[in-house]
Amino acid sequence: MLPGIGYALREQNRVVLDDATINAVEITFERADDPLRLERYVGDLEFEHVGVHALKLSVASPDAPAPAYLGALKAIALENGAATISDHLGFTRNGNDGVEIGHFAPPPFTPAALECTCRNIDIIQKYFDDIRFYIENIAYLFQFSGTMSEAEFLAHVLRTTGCGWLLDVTNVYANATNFDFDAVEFIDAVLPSADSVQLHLAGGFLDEHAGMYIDSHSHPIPDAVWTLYRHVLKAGCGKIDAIFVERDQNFPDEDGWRSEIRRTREIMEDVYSVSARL
Amino acid sequence: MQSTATQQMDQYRRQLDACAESLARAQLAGATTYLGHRCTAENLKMFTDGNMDKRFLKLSDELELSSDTLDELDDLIAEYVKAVPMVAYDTGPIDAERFLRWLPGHRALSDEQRDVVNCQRCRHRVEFLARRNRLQHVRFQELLSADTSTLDRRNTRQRIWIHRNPISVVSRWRTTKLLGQAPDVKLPATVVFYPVGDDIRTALLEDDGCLIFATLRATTRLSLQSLLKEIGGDPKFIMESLWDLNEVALLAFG
Repeated sequence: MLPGIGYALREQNRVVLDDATINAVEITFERADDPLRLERYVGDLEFEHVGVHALKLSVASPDAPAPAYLGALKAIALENGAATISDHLGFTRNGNDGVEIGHFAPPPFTPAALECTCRNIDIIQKYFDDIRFYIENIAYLFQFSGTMSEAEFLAHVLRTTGCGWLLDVTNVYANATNFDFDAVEFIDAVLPSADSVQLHLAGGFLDEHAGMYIDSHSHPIPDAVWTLYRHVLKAGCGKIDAIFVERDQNFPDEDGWRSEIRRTREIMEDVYSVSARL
Repeated sequence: MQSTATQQMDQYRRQLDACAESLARAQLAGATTYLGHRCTAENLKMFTDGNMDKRFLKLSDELELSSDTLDELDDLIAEYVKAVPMVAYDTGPIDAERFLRWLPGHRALSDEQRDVVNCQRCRHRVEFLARRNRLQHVRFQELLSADTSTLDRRNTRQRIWIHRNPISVVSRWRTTKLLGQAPDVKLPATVVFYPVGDDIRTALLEDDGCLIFATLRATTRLSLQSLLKEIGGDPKFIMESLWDLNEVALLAFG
């Protein structure tokens, strides 16, 4: 079965969603959850795969996610016919009555953080029931001190909870560039622990002043990420059920939207056809 | 004696408390002690600067309505962002609403500025109400789209129900700042905020409209006969007002 391919839905790319190349879509919960909406966020369009992407489950927080937020997420997933829900491996708050950071921070890679994360993902999966949950590796600008590597931590989470991995290829590339590790080794260390995989692809930029690659979703996907994507497709062949391209700034024109998604599909079909022949 | 696992968990909770507070307020000392190998306060600053910028832009966007009345709005937002962290599960207009609640305690506002703040807060309240009562919102919008051509605009004996838009917020404006060209409006003016589809509208309520709206307030729907009986007065005049309120989507017939 070939993975579904599509965009993270934004108003700017709705114009290309009927492209024959696109058979999947990812919707961001915070955009879809307009209290005044009368229609579902995906509208009349039909996709083979719909995923809901969340931002505030904060799986590494000591408190379990609030039932109200879980309920709202599940409602949006059901309304839009989503088969999966995803969120990020990190924390955005301390407790449920605490403060919001504004973006995901990486957890310290320690046994206590691991225990909280696995417990929270168990709670989330039980609540979502048939809707499969995926955890995304984040791009970070700093790390807290810990006792294990990110790859060990993530692999343990995937094995213990059985949740899927939303492998953000660009985030791996950004972290590998910024923290000087081998992106392929990271992926190869984690991938065997995941039963189901989704992919994110995006483009950022190199902040020369800070000497860091910034995952800003503002540029075309860089060649190094395409290369890594090809590797992931080979290594994860058979496990990958959907691939989503993300863009949040400097939006391309219609041809730009179409060409990036076509390249995503062409590479996937190329790798899968070679794999099938072997 | 606590077990080692419990101690580790307590320690983790304290660490996340310290780090989240530190990152949310961009006061980095609380988080730097936990940083890992090769990470410095500069890394944290990049992170918090980006978050603060994003928050500032979102607030500026959501508070656009206030920008021509509050000429120092950007400075006020910057002051607020620095002083007040976001709360857990901050979504939609929660941060903008908290800013508007914070504002009067930090700046003396004129009556016109109070009207603008009040207007924006009422719009937020409509969103919060719609979130809590989404099904009612959807059902009322369906009722609004129903065909009313078979109804007689003058027949006061028709067996119909009058439904009030369940997502409505009534307020008062003390100035003409937001009234545009409306002539001869008696101040303070009664205004109602309500959704039509996914849009939020504002209508000025005249005395008869206020009376009808107040009568329907507790129940959201009444039969035409009961409504006319409760309001009293000239039924033909009330009928005209009902149709006016229906035309602006504040009432539906069913």
